[in-house]
Amino acid sequence: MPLAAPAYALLGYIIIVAKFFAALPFATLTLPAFNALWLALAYALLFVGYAYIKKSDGGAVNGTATL
Amino acid sequence: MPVKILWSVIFSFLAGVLLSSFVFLPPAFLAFLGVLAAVATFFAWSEPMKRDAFIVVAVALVSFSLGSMRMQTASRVGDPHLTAQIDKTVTIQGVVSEEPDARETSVRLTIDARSLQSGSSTVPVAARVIAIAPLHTETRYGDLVTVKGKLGLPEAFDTVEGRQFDYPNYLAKDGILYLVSYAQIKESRENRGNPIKATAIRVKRLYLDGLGAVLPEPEAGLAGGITVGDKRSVGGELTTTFQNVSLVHMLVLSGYNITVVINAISTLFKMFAQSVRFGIAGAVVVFFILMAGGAASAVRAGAMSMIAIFARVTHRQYFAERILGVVSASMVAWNPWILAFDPGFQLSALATLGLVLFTPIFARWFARVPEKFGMREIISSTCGTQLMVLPLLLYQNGTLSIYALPANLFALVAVPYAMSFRSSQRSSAFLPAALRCRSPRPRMRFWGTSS
Repeated sequence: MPLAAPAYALLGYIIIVAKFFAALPFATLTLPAFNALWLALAYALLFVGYAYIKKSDGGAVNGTATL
Repeated sequence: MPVKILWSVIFSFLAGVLLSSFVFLPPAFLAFLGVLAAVATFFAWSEPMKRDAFIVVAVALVSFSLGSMRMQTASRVGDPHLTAQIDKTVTIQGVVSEEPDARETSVRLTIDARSLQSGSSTVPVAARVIAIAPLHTETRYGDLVTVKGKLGLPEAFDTVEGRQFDYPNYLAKDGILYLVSYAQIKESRENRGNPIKATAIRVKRLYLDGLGAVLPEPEAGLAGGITVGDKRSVGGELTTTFQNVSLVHMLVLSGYNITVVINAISTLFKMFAQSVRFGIAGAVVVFFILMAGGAASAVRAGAMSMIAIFARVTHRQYFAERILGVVSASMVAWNPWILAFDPGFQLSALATLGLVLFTPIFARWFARVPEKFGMREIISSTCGTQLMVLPLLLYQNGTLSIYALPANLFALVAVPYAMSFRSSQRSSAFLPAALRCRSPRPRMRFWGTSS
């Protein structure tokens, strides 16, 4: 099917990109297990950081979208 | 003020569910929280200056208690007849309640057990079990089947670096409490499935077969993964590759896929009234969710898209973070197990939150990155979502993907073009499968051998 050719090329490109980066040295690092409290702390820091940035921007940053 | 109350309800309810997923909170403690809420309400009435703060506290206390109670009332209780047969060979009759999950060495069938054959008598049972059957077992969603095999309970298993996967609770979120291993399946000719769900699964199979006819593997599998979220069609090795470079989000049904579908429907039916157009789009979104097997991530994406459609039709503003909160809390209220025990739901909700909260921030930080090919948007959204899901991913599987950013940048540039080609190809993808001369489907009529 002629329409399949460009899709095939683009899908093949995505697969090549994934395989290329996965084959690079140190593509993934594995960390040892850690306590769930560290997880809670990480998210607390993320939300505090977001609140700080939002406050310093005067509320300019938000997730509002009009569709 | 109403927004503060909304967030107070959402966060407190979720906190109540989450805590009660791991710790039993006695009714006396929840009643005490109710008393504290009443006291806060009294102060809200008597202290007008701090009225808003006291109302928020009262609402939070009540919502927390409700969340805790919701989790406690959702406890999974096994069937006593089945529990008595653990580690024994049993014969169960039931209905295949999900699309069969074909793995590399076996097929997993989710079965709503209706009866247990015990000697010459049959005992009615009500439980959901997973039957692990030989690879080429041919069953469909909705088939009434008889399963013979060893009944057991799911067990947690070790993953990497000292981590353990809580398999029993992962299955319990779907009401599955038992496993039948080495299962031999015997079908009847009866089909008792939901006809709409059966049609959705049939359409998906037809579509995937069509893709397989016009594209070679693994490209066909990737196309199926991106368009209908069929991760299994990609294969285990390529899925691992995509996981290692943080591209696995492309293989699940997301808001992006659903947006593409809605836009395609809107274009296709543009001569109709807006309400008709979006009504059709809404129906198609529901159909898509059924095709994806009703996974929590697909339901979340679909629900948010439906609300977006409603907002567009009624000319209202769409606050993504509020909609995400309401949809997530509603889903957790429906099935509280997904909050603590469904990684798909957790990652989907967090990734969307990262997209909503942090993408605009990164977009400003990366203002010098050109907008050509959507590069700035891809970098910003990748950073936003990765930042939000990274702590949870590290906690769950400990894998840190070093090249996530460049991999996403290079791969996602191609996705809009690939999607548009597949959209035009989507209708033609059905043709080869539909026109193909089909041989009768082989059906097992005997007790198969276990492998």
